[in-house]
Formats: sequence, structure tokens, C-alpha cells
Amino acid sequence: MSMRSKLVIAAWVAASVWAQNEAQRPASSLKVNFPKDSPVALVGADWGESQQSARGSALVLDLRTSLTLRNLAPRAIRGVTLLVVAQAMTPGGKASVSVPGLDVKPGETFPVRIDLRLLRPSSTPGPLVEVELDGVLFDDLSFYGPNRLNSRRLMTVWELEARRDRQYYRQVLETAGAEALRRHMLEILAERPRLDVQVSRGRATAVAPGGRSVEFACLQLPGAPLELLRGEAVVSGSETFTPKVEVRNRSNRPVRYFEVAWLVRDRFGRQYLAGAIPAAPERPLDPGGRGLALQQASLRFASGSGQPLTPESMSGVLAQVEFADGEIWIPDRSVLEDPRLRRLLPPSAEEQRLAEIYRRHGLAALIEELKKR
Amino acid sequence: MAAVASMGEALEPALQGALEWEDRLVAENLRRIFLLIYRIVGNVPDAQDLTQETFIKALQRREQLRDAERAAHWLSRIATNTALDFLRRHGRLNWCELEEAGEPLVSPLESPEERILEAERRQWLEEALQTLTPRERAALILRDVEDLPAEEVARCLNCSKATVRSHIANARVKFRRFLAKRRP
Amino acid sequence: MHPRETELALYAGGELAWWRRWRLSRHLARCESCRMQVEEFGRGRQWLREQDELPPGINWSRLAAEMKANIRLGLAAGECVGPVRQPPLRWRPAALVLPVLLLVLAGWVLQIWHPPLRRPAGMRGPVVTATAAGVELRQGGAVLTLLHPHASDVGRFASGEGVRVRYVDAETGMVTISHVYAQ
Repeated sequence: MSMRSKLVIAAWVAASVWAQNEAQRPASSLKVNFPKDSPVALVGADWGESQQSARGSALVLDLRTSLTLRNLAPRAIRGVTLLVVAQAMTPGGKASVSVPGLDVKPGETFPVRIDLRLLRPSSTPGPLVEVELDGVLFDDLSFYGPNRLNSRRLMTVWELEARRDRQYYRQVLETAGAEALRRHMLEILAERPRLDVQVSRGRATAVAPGGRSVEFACLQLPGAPLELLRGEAVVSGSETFTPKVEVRNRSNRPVRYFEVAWLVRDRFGRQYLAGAIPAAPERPLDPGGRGLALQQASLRFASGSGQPLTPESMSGVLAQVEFADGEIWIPDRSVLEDPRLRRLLPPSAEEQRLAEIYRRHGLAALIEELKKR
Repeated sequence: MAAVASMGEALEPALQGALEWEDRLVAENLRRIFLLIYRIVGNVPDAQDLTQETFIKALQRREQLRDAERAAHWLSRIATNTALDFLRRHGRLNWCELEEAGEPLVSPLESPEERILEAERRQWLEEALQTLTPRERAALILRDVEDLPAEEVARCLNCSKATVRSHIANARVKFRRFLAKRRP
Repeated sequence: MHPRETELALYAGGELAWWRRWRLSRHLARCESCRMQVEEFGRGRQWLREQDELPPGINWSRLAAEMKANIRLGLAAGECVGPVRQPPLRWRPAALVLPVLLLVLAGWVLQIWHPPLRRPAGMRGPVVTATAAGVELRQGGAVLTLLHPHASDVGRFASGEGVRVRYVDAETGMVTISHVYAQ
């Protein structure tokens, strides 16, 4: 082989290796799909440091982007959920990003940050990533969007929590003063015990031998539309299988969906929020009827230091209810002041946002924010 | 809303003035104190924590500050002690003795700074500082960077003037020898 | 006889007592090599003074904003704390997790700074793990990590279909909720 051929081949190999390994900007392969009648429009997209890199037969898409959207609707926007899809066939190909706590007036613009990593087979044709609108929630709780991710219910819950909590903090300010408000914000910002969680879903999960059934303690909420009757999960080693909670509808309306917040206690008596067990009714829960919240999954927990956590006992508390007519119930603020729940249940997204305003800009800015709406 | 509007006056003017003084003190000194501490401890996350700790300590004791114009020196003192306490507690000690610093290998006629690129310079500075003991490092930075008088440096380090002179001298010698060795 | 190097160093900075300074200046008037050393010490001081650059890779405006916020928080916490239990405060609730991100981008092996939740026998199929370092999806031998380098994780829990993680963006203060699907 001549020297020139060797050099050409060497250059070609080098170029291939470079193309394989070198991160490339996928700016031309990113697509934002909003319908023609969408109440939000894409004004700008800074794909910034987004990159793609090859890993064997797959592409890893590192999305670091900020989309700027404009409110085209005549009402203020309270929340937005976007679906980000590289491919929908295998896990790792899609995720969603929701931004609650918005107050975007008609005509105004707002940012939505997407920091995600997605997987995609290299050979799949089409744009690398597509961003779609799953839903927009307005200030009158009306909703637009295909709602494939149930974002209407989620965003409505967040908005109701936001209204509940803003009202609460306005009352704190009025009755107890700025210092009391400050103490609440500090408590929100203080470290809460959090679990590391590992979830595996699907029929492939198998209960390991030697598992024992652990019953839930059911915390009843005054005025709640559902009564928690009993719950249990199977615990084998540090793995927990298929937690389920049975409920009774004590309201006079059919219930379409509900969630039970699930708390676990370790052998040292420390309690943590493990997650939310979703409802599994095949049809709406009639008044007086019984239903089941069930998570068909196996889960493992670890404390913040990485130590596996074996649940010694568990509790459940009703977190949200969606009636068949679309109306949503959430726990009253007084429930959250219950000492058993206060340090366990996370602050709402709105509380987090208010606490962040306090942390970054101070008490005066927080008071100004509470005056707004 | 009327009740909330009345709460807009929740912050009294005196409190507002104190907050503005605090904000100004922080804004005017934050970068300098951060760099001072960073030069002593050698890494950003610790420097951030200790900078925050310094200002919190200082502002909690602000009634001890008799003269607002001396606030900068006062902050330097708190920052230095905070950083040295941290190094002492965490045992982060990594320096060479004066004898080990060695003699320069090339003629001292050429100035180092004429030959050094910016990134190399920064790295050299950090490595050079790491050859000093924590107290030598602090003494050198307070004297030669912060330009504090030797008496003030001694006060910051809570030692005698003779001791601080010794720290400063040893630091300068080690520093000079290190930089001279790194010359191409 | 030449003075000690440490004495020359103090001379260069003006820290010698006046009479020692006078004696040394008489020697320096006669001795070129000592004079050169003193000049070099002087240049070294000047050079040190000029090195006021921040460490590389720092976004100063963000870091400064972070520190100011935490200072305010620390002062407020100090005022509120009495004899009762003090809530532990994180200094950097919104800190960049840049070192973590760099480790992840270096390859597939993750969470060497954090003891991993080992995949037990019962878990088959894709596994989603949420920790303080981010959300990780494992399937077969492949691992993918979802990270929010501009935000801090303020809540993570198992949801019906995977893991839901709430972040507070360090730049805007906005709350974003990401949902990673296990199927």
C-alpha cells in the first residue's frame, strides 16, 4: 500500500473516530411541535450546551436548553407541561417537564428550562428530539392540551395547593407578622429527611422468597372524601413490593382518581415520604364503593447516607382526589400542621418557590410577592 | 388584600437602614474575602462555605465594630481565623519546610512574570501557596495582597509581631524559590 | 558577609526595624547579588498582588448571588433559633453539582461518590433510581442519568410510572418538576 493510501485511510479512520466520539450539537435535529391552536408559542430556543454523543448503537442526548414561550391566550397561565421525546419505545426515551407556579399574563413570555438526558437508537430516523405540549393550565383552572400525561390533574393539584398555601402565608403575615413568616420560610428551606428511591415496574417484578406482609397505618383526614380502610405491602429484605391501600368513597360523588401518600418508618423510628400510590380503579368509584390504590412495582429505599432502608412500618394518608366531574380535592392546610405530617410531607411547589424568593431576595420581596395574587 | 397591603410597611425604616448597611458591606467585600479564603484553603466549595461563615459571624457581631472604616480589616481578620480554624480541624496540611524549598536553579536576573502564560500563572500561584504552611499563607496574603500593616497581620493571626515577621519572611523565601524553579 | 535570605525578604517588604534597615541598605549599596535578590522579592510581591483572578470555571455572578442568599439565610436562622432544636440548614441548597456532572459525563459508571443502590434479584426490567445526585435509569448494562446541573433537587419520590423529581432552578428560582418514566 502506498504511503498516500495509508495517509488517506488513516485520515478516514481518524475522522470516523472523531465523528463517533466527538460531541456534536443537535440544534438542527430538535423539533418543537405545538398545535396550530396552541395557547403558547415558541419565541426562542437556546439549545446552549445541548450535545449528542454516540454510545454503541445508541445516541445519548444531553439536553440543556431554555425555551422561551409566549402566552397567546386571553387568560393568565398558571402551569405548563411539556413532553420531551427522543423515542417512545424503550425506557430512557421520554420524560416530561412541568412548570407550576406561573403567573404569565396574556402576551407575556416565560422560560421553560429543560435539563434532561435521553436515549435514542442511532438508526432511528427523524428529528433527534421532539418537544410537545401536554397541557396548559389557566388561572380559571381551565385546561388546554392532549393531556396524555394526566398533566391536567397534576397541574390543577399544584395550583390548588398554591392558592391554599398563599392564602395561608398571607394569614400568617396578617396575624403573626413578618417574623413568623420568616420562620416558616426557614423551615421550608431546612433539610428534610429524604429517601433515595429505586423503582422497577412491570410484570417482570417477582416477589423474592421470605417476604413478609407489612400493614399500613391509615391516617384519616377530617372532611376527606375517601376513607382509608387498610393497606399493605410485601417486604423482602430491603425491597418492597406492590404497596396497596383499600379505600371507601364516603362522599356523594363518583371518584375518578386518587393518590395515597406513602410514608415508611425504619427500625430507628425515622419516618420518610416514600412516594405516592396511585389509584387503580377500572371504573369510577361510586359513592359508598370501595377501591384500591396500587403500585405494581418493586421499590428499594436508602437513606441520604446510602444505607439501605428496610421499612419496619408504613402509613398512608390521602393526598389528592379527582371526582368524575373533574373537580379536585386536596388536604386542607390544617392537615399539614399535624405534627405527624408536618416534617414529612414535602412543601408544595408554591411553598418551595416562595421560600426561594425569600432566600434570594429577602423578606420584603416575599411580602411583595404574596400581595400580588 | 387590604390587610396584606398594610403589611407592606412591615419593615421599619431603622431596620431597612441596617439591612442596607449589611448588604453594602457584603457587596463591597465579598469578592476580596472569597479570594483571601480561597488562597488559604485552596478549593472553591470550602472557600464558599467559609466566606459565608465569615460574613455571618461578622454581621452577628457588628456591635463590636467601633469604626465602620475598619470593617475591611475586621472582615479580613475573621476570614483568616475562620480559614485557619477550618484547616486545623480538617487536618489539611501540605507544605514544605524552608530547607526543602531549595535554591533557585537559574539566574535570578530574569523576571518570572515576563515568561508566564495566564493559566500557567494561576496554577503556579496555587501550587506555590500550597508549599506554605497555612499561617505563612495567611500572613503572606494579608501582608502582600491585602496590604495590611504587619501589626494588623499579627492581630489577625493572633500572634506576636516577631512571629508574624517570621511567617512573612519564610513565605516570601519559599514563594520566590518555588517560582524560580518553575521558570523554563 | 551577606545577610540571610529571610532578612532580605523582610527588607523588600519594609518590615525590618529602622536600624536593621539602615545597616542592610549600606550592604546593598555595595552588593549587587543581594540587591538583585531584594528586587526579585519586590517583583514577587507585586506579582502576587496582581493575581486577583478568580479560580477558573467560576461563574462569579451566580456564586456571589448564592453566597449573598445564604448569608442572609444564615443571619435569619441565627435570629430565629432559640433553645429549641435548630433546623439544619444546607449552605448550598441550590449549588451546582458540577463535579458530579463531570464524573457522569466521563463515562457510564455513576455515583462513585454515593453508595449505589444495588439492583436486587427481584428487580427485572428497567430500574429508575432517584438520589441526591440525580435520576438514573438502568436497563441491561446501560445506565442513563438525568441531571439538573443548574438546580438542586428539593424532592424526589416514586410516582405511578417512575420517579418524579422537583428542582429549584438556581438562576431563575423557578420550580420545575421532571418525570422519568420506568416504562
